Amino acid sequence: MPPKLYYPNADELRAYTLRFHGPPVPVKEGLWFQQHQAALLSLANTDYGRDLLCLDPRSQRPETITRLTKNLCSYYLGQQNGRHYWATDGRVGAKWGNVIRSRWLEVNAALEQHRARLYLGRLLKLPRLRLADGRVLWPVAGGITTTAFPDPDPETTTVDGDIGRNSVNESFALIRSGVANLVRPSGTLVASHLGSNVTSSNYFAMFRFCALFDFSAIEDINTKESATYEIVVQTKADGFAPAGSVSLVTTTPASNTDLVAGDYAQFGTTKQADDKTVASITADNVTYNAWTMNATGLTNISLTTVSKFGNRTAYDTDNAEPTWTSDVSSGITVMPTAETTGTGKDPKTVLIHSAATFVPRVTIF
Amino acid sequence: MQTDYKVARMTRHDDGRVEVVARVYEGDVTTELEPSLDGRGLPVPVTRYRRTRFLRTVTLSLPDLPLAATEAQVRRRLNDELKKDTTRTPIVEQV
Repeated sequence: MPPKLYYPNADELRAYTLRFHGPPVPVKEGLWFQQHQAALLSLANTDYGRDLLCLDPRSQRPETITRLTKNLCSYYLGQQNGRHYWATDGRVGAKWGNVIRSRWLEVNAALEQHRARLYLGRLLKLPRLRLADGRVLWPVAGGITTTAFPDPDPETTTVDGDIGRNSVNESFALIRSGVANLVRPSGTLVASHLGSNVTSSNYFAMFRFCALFDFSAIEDINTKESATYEIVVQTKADGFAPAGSVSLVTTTPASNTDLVAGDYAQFGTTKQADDKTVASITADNVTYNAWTMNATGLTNISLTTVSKFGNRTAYDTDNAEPTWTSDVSSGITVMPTAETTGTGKDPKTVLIHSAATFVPRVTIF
Repeated sequence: MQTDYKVARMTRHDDGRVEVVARVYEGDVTTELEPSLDGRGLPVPVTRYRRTRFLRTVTLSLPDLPLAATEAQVRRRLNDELKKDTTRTPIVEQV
């Protein structure tokens, strides 16, 4: 049986003819998926792309798609114990070949947009272009990435650490609104969790983590494009029902370079990013766990002064007591701070911004 | 006496330039009581490197760092900065 063929548009035929110096012929399925893999993956990892290509929506399969062929779709599950894991959805028939063929006009239009984005992205990543005659062409401004870390003790500008109410035996309301009795601005390992006691309906510990970042060296005229808040986690626990999550919130400690007990009450309840479920947090003491900031979070990154964020359990943020279970915890039970030696595990915020002089934008009709 | 650095800020420009601001400290390995992490929070002796004093800020950019420098290249360059100190020993993680 001859292979199934695509029927490319005139532009594709022309490109194919130019490249291979042969007659314009339809392209074989396998070759087509190979040639268009980058744009296909870019499309497949969007909500619209998932819908268009009949893939599971991101609400059901949040993993990134790393390979798409006419009958295979691979999802990247992550890294554990130094090994990478994927899940592959394989079909006997050429499901995605058939879907793309039947929705060719829509798919082709979407791929055109994603090709343009990929080409622009590559252009911006190029250090510089050297022309054939030796002249150097510098790319236009845009897409600058600045990563900021809190200072270790002795702090210069920013601090990180946890503030907790520990070794108590009291209700959720009291432990949440009480006075902190353990503050670790200079601890190498800290926490952000809720722990229950053995006494029914009572809790033993509640910790909140605070981290400050200094982006004030960036010119205030820059445009903030996106940001992620990232931490490494050593151990976690998820002992309550409903299952736990960790929120990213703003903080307002009394000092930028130290933490005190009163800062326990200086944690906001407005979420600066979607909560991260404890189940989705990688606790291998190596991998960074990222909260992608929403518009509110991005607004709270200051280019003139210190930006102040922190973590608390979603039970704590939402003031929603979980179903009490004896002697369990939920949240981040151990995480490294900027106090650790080396530079690979410090909490960080990654801000992508662009100089206001000229920001390229592509409008595709 | 030992010395180490911590990166405070790293910027990757769209033209490939990398700017790094690092802070250099002096300290030593000491044993002090710290709250335990077993949930009780009781003080236990912990032996580790502790910074005692901020020394200086180091800013690296072109030509200290190559275009599109990798994090390994940045670390090597910062390790070289620590070696310039003749009175202090770099911590083992940053030799």
